[in-house]
Amino acid sequence: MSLAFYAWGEPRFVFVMAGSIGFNYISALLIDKLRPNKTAAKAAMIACAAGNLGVLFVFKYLDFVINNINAFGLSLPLFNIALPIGISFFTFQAMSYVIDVYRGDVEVQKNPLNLGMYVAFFPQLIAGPIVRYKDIETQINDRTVNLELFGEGVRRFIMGFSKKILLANNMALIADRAFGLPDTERSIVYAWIGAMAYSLQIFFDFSGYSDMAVGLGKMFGFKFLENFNYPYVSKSISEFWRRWHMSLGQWFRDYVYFPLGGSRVKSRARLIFNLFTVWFLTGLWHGASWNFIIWGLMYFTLISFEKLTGWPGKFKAPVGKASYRIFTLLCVMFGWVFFRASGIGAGLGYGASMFGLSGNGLFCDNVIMTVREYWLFFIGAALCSTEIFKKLRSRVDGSGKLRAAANTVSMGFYMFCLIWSVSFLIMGYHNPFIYFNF
Amino acid sequence: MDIKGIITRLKRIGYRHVLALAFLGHIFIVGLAAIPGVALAAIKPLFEARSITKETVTAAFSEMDEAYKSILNFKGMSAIRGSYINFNGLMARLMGQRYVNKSLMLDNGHLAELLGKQDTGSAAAQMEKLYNAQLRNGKEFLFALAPYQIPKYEDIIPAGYEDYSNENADQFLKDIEGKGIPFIDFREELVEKGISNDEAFFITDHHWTNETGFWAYGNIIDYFARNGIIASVDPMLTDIGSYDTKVYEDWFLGSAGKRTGKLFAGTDDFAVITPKFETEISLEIPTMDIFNKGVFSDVAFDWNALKSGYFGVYPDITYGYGNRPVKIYRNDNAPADLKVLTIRDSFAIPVSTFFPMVFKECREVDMRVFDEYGVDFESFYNEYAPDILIVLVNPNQLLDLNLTYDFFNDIEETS
Repeated sequence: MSLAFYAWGEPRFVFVMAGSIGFNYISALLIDKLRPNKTAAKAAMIACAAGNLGVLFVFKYLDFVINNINAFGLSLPLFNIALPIGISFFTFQAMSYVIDVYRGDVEVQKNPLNLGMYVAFFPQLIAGPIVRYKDIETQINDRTVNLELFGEGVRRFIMGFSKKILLANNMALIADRAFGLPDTERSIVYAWIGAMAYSLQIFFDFSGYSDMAVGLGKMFGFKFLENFNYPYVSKSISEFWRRWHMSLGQWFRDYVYFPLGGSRVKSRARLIFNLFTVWFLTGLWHGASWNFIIWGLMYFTLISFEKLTGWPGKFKAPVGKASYRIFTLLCVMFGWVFFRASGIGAGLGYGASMFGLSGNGLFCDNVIMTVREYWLFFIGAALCSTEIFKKLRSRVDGSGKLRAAANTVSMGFYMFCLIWSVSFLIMGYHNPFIYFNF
Repeated sequence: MDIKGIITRLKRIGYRHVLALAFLGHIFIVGLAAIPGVALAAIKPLFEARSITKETVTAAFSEMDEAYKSILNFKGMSAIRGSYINFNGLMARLMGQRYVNKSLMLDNGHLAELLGKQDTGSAAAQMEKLYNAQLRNGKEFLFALAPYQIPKYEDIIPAGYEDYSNENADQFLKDIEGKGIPFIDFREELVEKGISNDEAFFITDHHWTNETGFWAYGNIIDYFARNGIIASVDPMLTDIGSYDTKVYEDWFLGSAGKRTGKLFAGTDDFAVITPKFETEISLEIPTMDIFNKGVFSDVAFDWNALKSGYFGVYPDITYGYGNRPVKIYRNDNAPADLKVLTIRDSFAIPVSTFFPMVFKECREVDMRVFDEYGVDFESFYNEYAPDILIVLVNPNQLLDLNLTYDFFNDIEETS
């Protein structure tokens, strides 16, 4: 079923996925067999990782490298290979399985169908979360499917579906319009609105998809780990990355940062190198473009700064903490501007327009239009990016009568969101999925 | 089990169970409808080709995708689809939104589609070819520009939106005026007659109302009479008082309304105008195998299209069966023994349907679908040799085939 789901969108590249499953299945078996010989097992693991990264390189990075080589005056031909949807996700997922087998963290899976199901499981196949095999190893053959869990899965799916359709898609309309304007025609206020809208779009797009994946997983009896934890309430950049796309952060932590020594290294230079490697690769993972690399290196700079200075942990006064929190949000938002822009120049141009440096005015009719059309979605998005509803719910859960009333209100609200979201789909509304491209 | 037992059981149903049922209900409706449709779509290309090749498998996936999209859009289940659209429109209305699903609610409450800046040079060039062809044959030509929902002289667009329909139209008319092509600008005619866009247009559709279309028909006939192209005709033929106007109230949800729902901007009345006087005409639509002859109201109207229901029904094609590649009207009792050819878009539906009242033979072509007729335009034109060639379009069509079709591709124009 999962392969059919993938084949629906990518009838040719389903063979790439199937090939990846087969290759990693055989590699893990081989590593397990070679385990008594540590050197041979390690070589097999490295070869497998190289094979996975090689496939990823060919599909995702080959033309990028060629373009950069050609910038030095050569004229190497481009291959123009189409990018299979979700290749970064399923490649990393499969690699983590093989590395965990090598490390002895998980038992090798001898049933190819079970491994195939882990790699290709449709709820999280094309946009994560990156599920670790050890997190679902026991659930493959031993899980419970009951109405209660199914219902909770439905609730979670509707939450994600609504986040995506109601919030992300409407924020996308604002962001697309703002980013589509020439820098000189984008007023300062509108530039900030566009940047905020994109920040909200990418969060709800991605977290919405993750919620749908977690929800669908629950419907089938699987319990996936969370991928987002209200990242926009973070008090620091480091905390932001402990709350944003947690599965990716944990992957790089466990398979790149820790093997390099992590923070427990003797020299600052080594620490900087380790951080640089992780954040360079994180940026690169997001896309074959200097935009993404610079975005990743921006985080390298900020996180290194925090690690070396101890900020904001050193702040005692609330003013300092609050200021750093705002600084964090601003850095994240500026990072998204580069993420969204069509190139470095476009990103710089957009950033300049946020400060009136593009010859643009302070205000324009677009601001009026945006507030009039999207005020409810903006307010909803802002509230949903905080823990306000979660905290409200946990207060109510303690009280019997209030809880019953809250359940009824919740049910009505979810049904309302489901119907409203379906109505947008039926009307054929704008429905981009950002993280599919990775 | 007694009532108390049932209630006790019901109380145990948590909200998650209800949610699960609602979710499954949506999947069931879509899925049940999807399975046979998608399966058939997959089999069709393989069955027709009687082979499994890369091309037939690719075609099968493509057909499955289209079938799946149709199911998701509840095509064929208009009532369900309409309910969702109405709900969405209601929410938009409550939120005070003005732009929903490509439709903008103007300050007068009407729905319009915004147009970007267009280069109408190629359209003007094609009009020149048509005009010169008529001139060479010693025949008449008229370009008639229908108005747009967004008026030229009033600013009723909400802040933050831009529309270039009138700017494009002005540029186009300037181009053809420079080439000496005669035209009627109905935007100016409306202003001159003191008819506002509120009165002239449907609320939920980009077209003018049928009553306005009838007025435009009279206006065109009057133009021909004033310019000596036809002798004066009996005013009865163009006087609305000589016609029955039956108004079907709250009957019509236009194209914009179908995208936004009836709760966003409301619904429209729909008028059907038929002559009170005696008539006998024929209408032939070759691509539909239609040949009707008799009383005008029996011949020229597709009464089957005049259905209520808002979604999945299109009463606007009641007049003259809507947009067809070629339509041929004949009226041996018409006062003007002339052949008229109208190249038109949908704005002509309530206009050119009445031309047979005045002209003995009227043909209409819609170049957007003309290829279905199976004949090239030049042959069609030469065979018919119209005495009057009318082009009637609205500003949304300045880049479309009715104006940009390569009508006479071997004739070079010198202007």
